[in-house]
Amino acid sequence: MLTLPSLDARIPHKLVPQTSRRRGAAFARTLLRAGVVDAALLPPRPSADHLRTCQSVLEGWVRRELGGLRMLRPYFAMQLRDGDADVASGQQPSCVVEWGGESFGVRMVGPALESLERHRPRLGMTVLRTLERCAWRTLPIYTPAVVMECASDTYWYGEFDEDMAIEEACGDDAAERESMRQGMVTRAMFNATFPAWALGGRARSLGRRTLRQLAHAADDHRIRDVIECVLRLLAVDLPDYDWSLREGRFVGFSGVLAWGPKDDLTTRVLDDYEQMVGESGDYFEPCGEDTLGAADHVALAGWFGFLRNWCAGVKALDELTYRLTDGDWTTHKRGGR
Amino acid sequence: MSAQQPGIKFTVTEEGPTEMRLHRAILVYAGKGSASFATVHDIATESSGAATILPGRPMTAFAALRLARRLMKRREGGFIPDRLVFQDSTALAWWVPPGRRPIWFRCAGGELGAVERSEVVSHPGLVFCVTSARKWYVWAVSGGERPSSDTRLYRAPYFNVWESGQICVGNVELPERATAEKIDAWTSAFFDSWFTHPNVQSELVAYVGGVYRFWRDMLDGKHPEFPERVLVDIDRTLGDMLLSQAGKHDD
Repeated sequence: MLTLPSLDARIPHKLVPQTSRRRGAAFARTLLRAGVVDAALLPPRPSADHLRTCQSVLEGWVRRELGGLRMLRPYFAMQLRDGDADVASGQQPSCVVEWGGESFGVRMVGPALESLERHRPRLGMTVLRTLERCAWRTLPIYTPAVVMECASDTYWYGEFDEDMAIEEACGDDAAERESMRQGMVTRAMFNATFPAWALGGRARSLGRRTLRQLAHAADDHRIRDVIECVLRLLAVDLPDYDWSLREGRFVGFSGVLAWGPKDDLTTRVLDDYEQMVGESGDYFEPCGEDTLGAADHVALAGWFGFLRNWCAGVKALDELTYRLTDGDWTTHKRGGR
Repeated sequence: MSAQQPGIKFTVTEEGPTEMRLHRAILVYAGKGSASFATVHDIATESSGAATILPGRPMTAFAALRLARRLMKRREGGFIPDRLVFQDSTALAWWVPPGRRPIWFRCAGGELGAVERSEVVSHPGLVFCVTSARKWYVWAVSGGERPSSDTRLYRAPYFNVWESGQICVGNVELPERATAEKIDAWTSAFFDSWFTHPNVQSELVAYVGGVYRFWRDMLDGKHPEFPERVLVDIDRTLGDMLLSQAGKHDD
């Protein structure tokens, strides 16, 4: 009987080029010097492929910082690049890191926020604003105000409502103007779907002292939990992020916070917006990017310091988002005594 | 709503050549004379790790040529430094003209007047060579002319260099690649490291008092110009040395 020849067990099934091994070893050394690696993060059997070991350590690091997330799904992608072949240019091997979040889908936030607003005027607004502020500094999420900006970008020529777009398209023809208004997304639809405070406005948010008092006095544990989440979010010192430095439109949102079961507007606007952006090809998905020297352990340690703070923000944001979208907020529950 | 812990991804990738997996096998049949035939086979790998060569198909000359081109693929061309004197698939050699530059000694016995000494001194013309196996050599040449195949070689008068000219690397950080663009980095790696002890049994320099006396005098400034008369002729030309695969490791 004929048998197919087998390969001797000493023939390797994979080869790792010397350049790759050296690059991996050098980066592992930088991580060690940066203080990112500790014994608990090392895999039981470190791979001969040093980059895989680095990946395992870094994955362990972010899981330790972000353990227990229920909504947000952050990702990080690091690429090691060689320095410029031209020594005179002085360009050293670098590490380009990008991060962002995969979408958790569409969740309803209206019942919870309206319940908070009923509990105390401006409480729902304060919670929403705090969530938005932290999201823009960590993992952006579509909220009513962001969706209205998308509508402005998609339908209204960047204006606050549809009047300019209708003027441009129809001139003085009243019948045509009315017909166009009937067929498009209008500002009135936003006003009918969301309370005014969810779309922006100039009202001041509640201060921390007021929030602490409200949390202390709340007899509904859900309201108390939400306020405590907000206080934790406010306590995280997150630097502002200058989105204007990025080219194109950002589309890597980590989820959609629609208002309620009757909110068809959010998905309609976002479908049109994402189609428009997709066709333009002028967009980006990662929330952040940075380039560090692959051998610069001081810079890398600084970046991980930033990341630790970022993770604290993400954890607090995740918890707040979860509490606002979990359970039935249409009934008012009271805590037992 | 799911209360499961979502996955958090952290990927680390790299630019350039990465891991290669066993993909195919080529079996070569040879008869008497020059007759030969080759077949290409896919490889099946089982979960246990055992691999089997699957039935194959004849390898055409065109496929062999295409594979050969891929295997020969090197970096795209660029400007060639005028100090580059030799380059093929196995070695790269370059010339460093005579000149003054710092040199660093760390001799535990204090044979040079102190345990650690450094001065800017004159050096002879040098030829460095790095092979594809990352063996690294240096020889001295006489005069200030760019060397050619017929140029006579002399023993490089430095510590930590074996008789063949191979440089003891120790823990010196070397450039990742041996390419024409990196020759300055390789040269700096040589001069910016500590010289600690002679690595040759025979004469390193023809100097009364020996090699320690020679370098002590150099460091003390007794020879503003490098005294080429001290160089030891190794009775080989540059062409001999490069074409014989740059000698053998003799550690």
